This record gives sequence, C-alpha cells and structure tokens, in this order.
Amino acid sequence: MANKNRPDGTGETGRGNQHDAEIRDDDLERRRRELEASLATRLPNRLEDGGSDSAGNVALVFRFASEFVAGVLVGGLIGWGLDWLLGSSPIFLIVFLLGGFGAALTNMVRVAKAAQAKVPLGKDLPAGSVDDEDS
Amino acid sequence: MAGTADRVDPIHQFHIVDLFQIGQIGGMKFAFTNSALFMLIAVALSFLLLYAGSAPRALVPGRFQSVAEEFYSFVHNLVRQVLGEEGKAFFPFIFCLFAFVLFTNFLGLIPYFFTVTSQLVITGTLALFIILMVLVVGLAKHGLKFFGLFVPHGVPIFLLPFISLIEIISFLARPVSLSLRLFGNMLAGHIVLKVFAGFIVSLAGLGFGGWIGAIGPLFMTVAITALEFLVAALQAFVFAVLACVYLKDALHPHH
Repeated sequence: MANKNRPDGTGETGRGNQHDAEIRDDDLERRRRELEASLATRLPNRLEDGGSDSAGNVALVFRFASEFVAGVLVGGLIGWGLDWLLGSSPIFLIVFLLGGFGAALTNMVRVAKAAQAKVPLGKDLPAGSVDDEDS
Repeated sequence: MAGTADRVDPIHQFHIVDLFQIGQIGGMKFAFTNSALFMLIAVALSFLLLYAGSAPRALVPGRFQSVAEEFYSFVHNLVRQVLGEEGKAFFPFIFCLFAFVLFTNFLGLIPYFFTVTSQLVITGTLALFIILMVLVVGLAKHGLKFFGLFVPHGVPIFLLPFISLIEIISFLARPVSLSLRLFGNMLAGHIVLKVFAGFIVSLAGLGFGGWIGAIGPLFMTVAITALEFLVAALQAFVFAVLACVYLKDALHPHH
C-alpha cells in the first residue's frame, strides 16, 4: 500500500531513489506541514506550558529594566552630545532626557503589550472565578 | 579563583589576557586574547555539534543528530513564527547569532573558563551589527519609506514632532538595551557566583565553626549555578528573539 514511502532500511536520507528527485518544492512544503501538524497533536506543548513561567517572568523583568535604562541613557547621551556640539549648555540635555524617558516608557508599554498578548487577560485567574459585573 | 591570601577577587575572572601577540596595527597592539580563544572554542564546538550531528544522516536520529536537529528546528520555528516565510533569508544569521551567544554563555559557566558575553564590547558589537542590518535591509527594501517607522499613523500633526523624537530615541535605544541586557545578566550572574563561592573559602578558613557556616553559601552557590544555566539559555533565546523582532520592523516598517 504505502510501500513507496517507507524507508529502504539503509538509514540513508537524501536523493537515493529516483522518485525522490521528482518531489517538487511545494510538495515538500505540504508534506512538512502535515508532519508538523501531526507532531503538534502528539507532542505536549513544550514551549507554551513547559513550567518555565517564572523563568519567562525573570526575563521579562530584565527586559523592562534594560529598556528603561537604555532609553534614558540614549536620550541623555544625544542631548549631551548636541549641547557639546552647539554649545547650548543644558537645553538639549533636558529636552532629550525627557524624550528618552518617554521613549523608555513607550518601549516598556510595548513590551508589556506583547507579553499580555501571549497571556490573555484573566487566563491567570482561577477557573470559575466570580465576575463582578454580572453579579 | 582565590586571590592573594584568603581574599577573593570576583572581578578577576573578567580580565583580558594576551595569549600571544600577532602584530601591530598603527602602534596598537594586536594580540590573540583569552576572549578570542573562547570565541574560537565556541564557534568550533557549535560547528562540531552540527557537523557530527548531521554526519550520520540517519532516518531515526541518534543522540547527536537528535540534539542538532532540535537545535536547528528550534531556531527555524522561531524565525518562521516571528518573521514569517519571507524571513527565511535571515535564518542563517539568526542561527549563527543564537549558537554563538548560547555556546559562549554555556562555556562561561565552566570553572576557569572565560565568559565572552560578559564583555560589553562583544554584546555591543553584536547588537550594533543587528541594528545596522535592520537599517540596511529596511532601506534596501523600502527606500526612504522605511523612515515611516518613526511616524506612527493617526497622530495629530502638532504632536508629531514629539512622537517622532520619542520614536527615534526608542529606535536608537534598541542596540543599547539589547547589549546591556546580555552583558548585565552574564556579568552580574558570574560576580554573584564568585562572591558566594568566595564566602565558602573564607568561612572554611575559620575552623570547624566555619565549616558548618559554609554550608549556607555552598547551597547558594549550587542553586545560583543552576539559575545561571537557565539565564544563559534564556538570554541567548531573548537575544535571538529580539533580533528577529527588530528585523521584522525592517521588513514591515508600518506596524
């Protein structure tokens, strides 16, 4: 029945047989997708609930921290450099420091949004918890 | 790595040592350092893993091949999830980046080994390379429209200068945050590890009471070592993910 698709027992992959060479790219792509789909149903979701929630949270905390530091740092440096070039002492430093602060907050909000998109709101609540607005 | 007497210097592990001098470039010494040595080792190991893993070409993978295949498909799925099918061109780049950071991070956890990624120069160079690539790809693909990245849609005209300023700064902050995070994680982790390990040595020098007291820091050192393994893998992953995310902006400037 499916004799053609079975391995020949030599353990070799690659273009050993004649009909392998005829497989076109899109056919290969389709077969790869089918394999992935069938694998996904059999394998447990390793990435999603691999028990590494706290590890992900630690990484998230470091992202917030570095995002904030980098924003303010870069803003301050640009302002300081412009002041140094134009000799207009504290004006650009102040403006760009504030701008850097804003950029840092924007970045942090983006990180938070991306993190929230992964874990939809309320998913971390216990199942069947009371909804205030309904009662 | 105990220093002189019983004092432990947690910074000593980050010293760059010239192994041998290659030559001089414009009066600057050009030497092969311990950092360069461990970079070479990391590259050689990652090459060896993939080469040894792909050599058998067995249909049912053995141990090495299994590791190599998982390694490959993990990064492959990551690139495809974030960048989509058109991002396949960046897969070799992201894979090299991930392999390099992962192997240097893990190599640094072996005692007496040098941690390449605990040097801001290295992480900064990697981050700058990523951001330059984003700029080049974005400009090549979209021309001047790429700068539409700094002009979000639906912003009132009188707010636009401020928003653009903030967007430009946030773009420029990306390589800084990318490099600072990896550098900071590795540096801090290794210093904490050395400090706790130093407590064991110092306490053990006090006699029997010290031996009892050293159990606490010993436990902490073991626990932090485990944590550092986690951090090493996680930070390599985060570095690769963010490289993908930033490259996505180059492919699709209008988010």
